[in-house]
Amino acid sequence: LVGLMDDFSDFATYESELNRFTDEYHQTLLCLYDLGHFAGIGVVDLLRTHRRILLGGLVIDNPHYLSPDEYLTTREERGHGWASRTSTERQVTQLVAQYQSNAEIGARLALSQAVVDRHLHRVFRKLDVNSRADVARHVPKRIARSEKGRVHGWVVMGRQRSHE
Amino acid sequence: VITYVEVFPLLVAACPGYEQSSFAAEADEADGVFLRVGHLVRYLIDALDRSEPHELTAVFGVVDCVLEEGDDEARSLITDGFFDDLTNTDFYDGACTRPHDFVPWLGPRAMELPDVRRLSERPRGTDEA
Repeated sequence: LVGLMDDFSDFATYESELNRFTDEYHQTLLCLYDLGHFAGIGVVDLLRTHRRILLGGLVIDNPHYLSPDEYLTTREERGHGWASRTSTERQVTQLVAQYQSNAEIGARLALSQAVVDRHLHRVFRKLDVNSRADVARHVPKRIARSEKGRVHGWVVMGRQRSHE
Repeated sequence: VITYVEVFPLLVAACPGYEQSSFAAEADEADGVFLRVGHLVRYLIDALDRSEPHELTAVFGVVDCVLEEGDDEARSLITDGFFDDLTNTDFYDGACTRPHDFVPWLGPRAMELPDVRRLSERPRGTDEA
């Protein structure tokens, strides 16, 4: 799925919205995420979209869970993090992750040096990163490019419907 | 008229200690001027934290000069870069200095910026740590 999304914020929104669908059915879904595709900020946002988590073999209620409405509202209010980026900042993020220089990004997006610099500044502050390599590390790798044997770990989160 | 590419050299000329600092060493030219200004802001915070504010008058003099005589991109570098970082409390982690501590050095043009003026209106000690 990550491979079909423009970037992580789209994926996290999808994951949050999926709760509206699963709420209508009595079923249990287990979501497994390859941590090789999600680092740092990504996992924190994903955590907010799941009611329950599997921790040490136990299914526990997730104290950080936000309903889809809460998640989307919080995302708007945060002004920080992946989801708060503007469309241009998302484009800049993607191009930085592809190791493009500021000049190349400017040429690609038809932006002046100053405007690219300003967008990159905002991306760094919103993502709380200190280098272009950090930006690249945080952008989810496309599943198509995933290689077997490069899995760094898994995180499991549940969508089990609340029965109370 | 002061242009975008002229601003950073002017700021550095106003605080020559920056170039010799670890903050300058950490800066990556490839990241662009806005982020390099962020490293300079960290240097200024550190300088004030070490009670060595002797370069601040010159730096904020340049800042006011750019706000007065800079083109749109140059002024944006000061408002959206320099002051965005100077008022960002994340930049003050581990420091005793807080954004409002810079108020005595701010020039009249800087004080016209809403986010900056707010610093002087905020009673001391009320910044989030």
